Amino acid sequence: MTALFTGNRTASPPNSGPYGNGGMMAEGKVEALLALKREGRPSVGRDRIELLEAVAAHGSISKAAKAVGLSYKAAWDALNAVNNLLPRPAVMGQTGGRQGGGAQVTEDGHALIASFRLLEKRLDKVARLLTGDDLSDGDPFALLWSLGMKTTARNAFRCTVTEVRLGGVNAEVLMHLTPDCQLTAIVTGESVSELDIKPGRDVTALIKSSFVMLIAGDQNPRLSARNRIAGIVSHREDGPVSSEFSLDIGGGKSIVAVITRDAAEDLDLRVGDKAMAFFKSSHVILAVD
Amino acid sequence: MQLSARNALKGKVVEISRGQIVGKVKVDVGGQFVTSLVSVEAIDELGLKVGEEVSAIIKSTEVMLAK
Repeated sequence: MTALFTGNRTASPPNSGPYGNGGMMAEGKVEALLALKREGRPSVGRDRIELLEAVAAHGSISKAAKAVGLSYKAAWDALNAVNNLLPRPAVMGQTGGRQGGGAQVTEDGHALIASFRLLEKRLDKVARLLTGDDLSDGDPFALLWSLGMKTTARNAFRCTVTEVRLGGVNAEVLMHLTPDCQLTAIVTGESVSELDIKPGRDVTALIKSSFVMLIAGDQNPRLSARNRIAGIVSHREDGPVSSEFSLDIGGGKSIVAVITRDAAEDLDLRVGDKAMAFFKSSHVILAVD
Repeated sequence: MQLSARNALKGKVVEISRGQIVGKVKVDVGGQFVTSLVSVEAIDELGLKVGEEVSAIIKSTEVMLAK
């Protein structure tokens, strides 16, 4: 387990701000924020830990969302994202995940919270030593400031690579999202070697929700798209032109698809219905640590 | 088959070029052509052949406009 020291320079007065104390300096406050990385898997930041703690304390997503100042949807999305990125879910819905339904933090989730808080305590001590009071010769820690990256891609799946096929320019990467669910990405051969993508490696597969197509029921049509995932609609939100769907795809994972409102009406897909999500391999971006 | 994608253009395969990972499939959709890049695995699985009837499926978000 490695702890990343990330920092933010804020213009607020000393000893204020949501993250408590850290190093102190004259003009602004240097905060120590812990981003937790476990065996090369992507980081889990403090905001997500706070949300998990709130779910544990209040027993539901809606109450937890209120407690940390998020909308229900934002909290729900964040928890789905966490589950997608971890090997085993950190939070499970108790009553099918309907609005305001109960939710429970798993044993894994609790372990995650505990380790995070413990390391944060220790790191705080280190932060005071490192940042110190005298930064009159500029900011020697400028380069350390957070490298954590959030992306707009609604679907970010932690997968394990099972096979890599090289072509002339292209390469095909096969990976497991779950033991029953294989995903395929077509990327350039160059990126495969640059990122050292090979069987056994953990990667994060990123797919924009606008690339995901839906079909109602559990038909398996003859489509060229390599990626097909069966699931149950857990959320539907209609806009004037687009509709956003979330599908529970098992194992605590979920996928988001954005389709036209017209399509949503034609398919008549509602929460609880079976559906299949499809996307082309060429629409998958791979990220490694 | 009802797929969420809004555009399903019926046509005939007029050309297939295979690479190692992807293949190019050109479809005559009534006087105009749509060129599709799909994995060779898909070409094999669907058993695509020149002369066959297929539908070219295009998600609305994929369509660019030029004036």
